[in-house]
Amino acid sequence: MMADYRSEKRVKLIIRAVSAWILAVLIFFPILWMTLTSFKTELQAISIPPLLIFEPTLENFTVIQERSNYFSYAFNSLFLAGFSTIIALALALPAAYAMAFFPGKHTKNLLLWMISTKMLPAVGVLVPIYLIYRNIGLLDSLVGITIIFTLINLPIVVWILYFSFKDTPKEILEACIMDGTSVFQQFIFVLLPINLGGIVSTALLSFVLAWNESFWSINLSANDAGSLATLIASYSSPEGLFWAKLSAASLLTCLPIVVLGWFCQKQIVQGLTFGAVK
Amino acid sequence: MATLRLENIVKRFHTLNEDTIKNFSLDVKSGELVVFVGPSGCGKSTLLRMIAGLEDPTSGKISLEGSDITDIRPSRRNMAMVFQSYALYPHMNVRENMAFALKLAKIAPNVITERVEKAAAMLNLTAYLETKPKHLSGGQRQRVAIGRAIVREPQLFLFDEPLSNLDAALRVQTRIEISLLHKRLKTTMIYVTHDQIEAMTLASRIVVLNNGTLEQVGTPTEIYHNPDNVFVAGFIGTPKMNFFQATLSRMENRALTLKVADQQTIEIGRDFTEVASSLKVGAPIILGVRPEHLEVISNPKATAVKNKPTLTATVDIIENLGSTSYLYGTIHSHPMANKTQSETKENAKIKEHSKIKTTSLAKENPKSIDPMLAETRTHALPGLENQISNQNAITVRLTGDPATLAGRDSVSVVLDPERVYLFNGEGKNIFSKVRS
Ligand SMILES: Nc1ncnc2c1ncn2[C@@H]1O[C@H](COP(=O)(O)OP(=O)(O)OP(=O)(O)O)[C@@H](O)[C@H]1O
Ligand SMILES: [Mg+2]
Repeated sequence: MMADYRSEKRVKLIIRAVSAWILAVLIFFPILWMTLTSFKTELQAISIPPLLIFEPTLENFTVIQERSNYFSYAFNSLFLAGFSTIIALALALPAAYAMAFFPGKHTKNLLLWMISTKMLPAVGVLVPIYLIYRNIGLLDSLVGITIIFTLINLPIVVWILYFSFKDTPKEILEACIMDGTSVFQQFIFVLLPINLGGIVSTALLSFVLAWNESFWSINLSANDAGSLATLIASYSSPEGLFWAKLSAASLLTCLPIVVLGWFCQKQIVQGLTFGAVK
Repeated sequence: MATLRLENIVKRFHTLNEDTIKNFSLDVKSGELVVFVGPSGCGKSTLLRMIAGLEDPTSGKISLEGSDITDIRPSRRNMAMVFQSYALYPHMNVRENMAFALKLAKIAPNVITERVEKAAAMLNLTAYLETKPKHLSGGQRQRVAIGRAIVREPQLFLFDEPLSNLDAALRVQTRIEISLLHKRLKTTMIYVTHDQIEAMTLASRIVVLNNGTLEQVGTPTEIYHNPDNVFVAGFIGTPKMNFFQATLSRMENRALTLKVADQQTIEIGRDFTEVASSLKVGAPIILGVRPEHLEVISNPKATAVKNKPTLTATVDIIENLGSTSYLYGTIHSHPMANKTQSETKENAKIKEHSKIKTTSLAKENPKSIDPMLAETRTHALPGLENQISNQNAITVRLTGDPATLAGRDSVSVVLDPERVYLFNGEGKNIFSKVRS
């Protein structure tokens, strides 16, 4: 009996491990293929059967830098993700503080309403926003796109910070009040240090989401304020598809954020699980 | 040291449609340790938080040393609070925790160091000054919280159930430490607890709260010996006071005759002249006796006890706690006692054998109440059902060796006429009416 149970457990474990690996490879394959393609010539890229062994070339990358100035797009991405995150935090921290520690009758509804805006298809408001932006001259401007990025991430940022603050016992805040702190001092001396993990992970998440955002940047920006997402898109449109260059642009877009994600894995997971993993 | 005055405090939370604190007034004298005690949810914390300024009263006035502080911010009230969950700052070590308020108040660093180290020495925390709270035990954390209050040298200390997260042994020890601290500092303290033992042992005066209203204020001795009403009588003292439903069947100046549980008649000899006018024959009375004021006697016919009021009770279970023991029983209520007696006898034996307790405490037998009596009960005792839910259960503290009672199905219990409490239909102590 014992032995049976043990071998049964082992078999189950093997099945689980194999399925996990298959799934992982399936998910990872497109990324691998993209990486390989970015080092091929355009001809190699479309050859059938696909080439696995070839002589790698850096030609695509130099072309991208020459033709579209990769670094200018990279700068835009950095600017947009950075500033939208900073502004979102500046707005969300006080909002989350108020909602977590001084909830009113409708705080729960407000939270739901905020997150529900994320359930709306973005394309539904594209036309009005496009028109507004055109009329006030924010199209293809870093300021305009930063505002949009801030607004689309704000609900998530408030939401995560709210739960992070909610984990902080209210009595600690009351002890602060009894000790004579101002609201600002409560933030600086107590709330920020206690919730540093949650705040950092929220910031990272917001940064990553803004970096990856493509819908709004493709539709509202071009050369001046375009992010790396628009750079990728530019290789798929007017003059037909260039697989190798498209892949190279994609790789250049993904790489920084994959590296960032790699180093901050723990923080991001903590943010997404609302601080449950410590 | 300070005198604190609360005048007509009312608190209503906007989410509730009832006042949480109902017209509460209290004077706290300088140097007193006043304990607020009451069941969970009665509003003790709310009251304390209003004194601290963490909550605003809906109406009423709070003054400290004669000056109105109702609308003064918490940090300006010169009070320090110790929270149930300690509420230490997790990212600061013990020293920083204690020094935080002083730093904010811009007190000179050398004064801060001096005060922190003095408090740490007083609380046995010197070795832990550089330790973070998460590496401390519960008792140590609570002492840090107390230390954080001490260093501020406040006029008033506020404690909200500071011991309820500690284990039993530590709770007793910390309770004694708080008592010593009060002796030493002589600062006015307000202490909230739902534990009546803490209230009795710590308090200069106890404030008994129930459902947002003040039931009684007094020294522990006053509260214990002269409870104003059934609620206070039942809340203070362990085990709980016994309550029996009774009817006044005869009244003289020096004796009352009560029919207890519609069955047993007892005569209580005592001077009733003062309260006679408020009593009338046929009126419902709640008879209250503490378990420690009852005595089991072996021979009810003996002359020494012949004239004392005596109740007969079946034995349900005897709990031996070592130093004392308690008898839990039921007083006969059924008119045909003989028949039920044999049943209960059987029960008692089984219970004693298998050492099952509590059943007798929770036992309720509504069918045995005859309709007439049930009628009087519901009319006479609105709202008192909670306090006297099982009118026929009796608890007796045994003085002798409980083994002598082994095998007994039924015992005679003598009441001390000077130590019984009589409450009227509204649950008021008939003697406290005279006093007030
Ligand atoms: N912020 C609040 N909003 C709404 N209702 C509240 C609030 N604080 C307390 N109450 C309500 O007021 C009542 C009294 O609460 P309070 O905390 O003062 O009770 P307590 O006597 O301290 O009880 P416990 O012994 O359980 O701590 C409760 O019914 C509680 O639900
Ligand atoms: Mg409380």
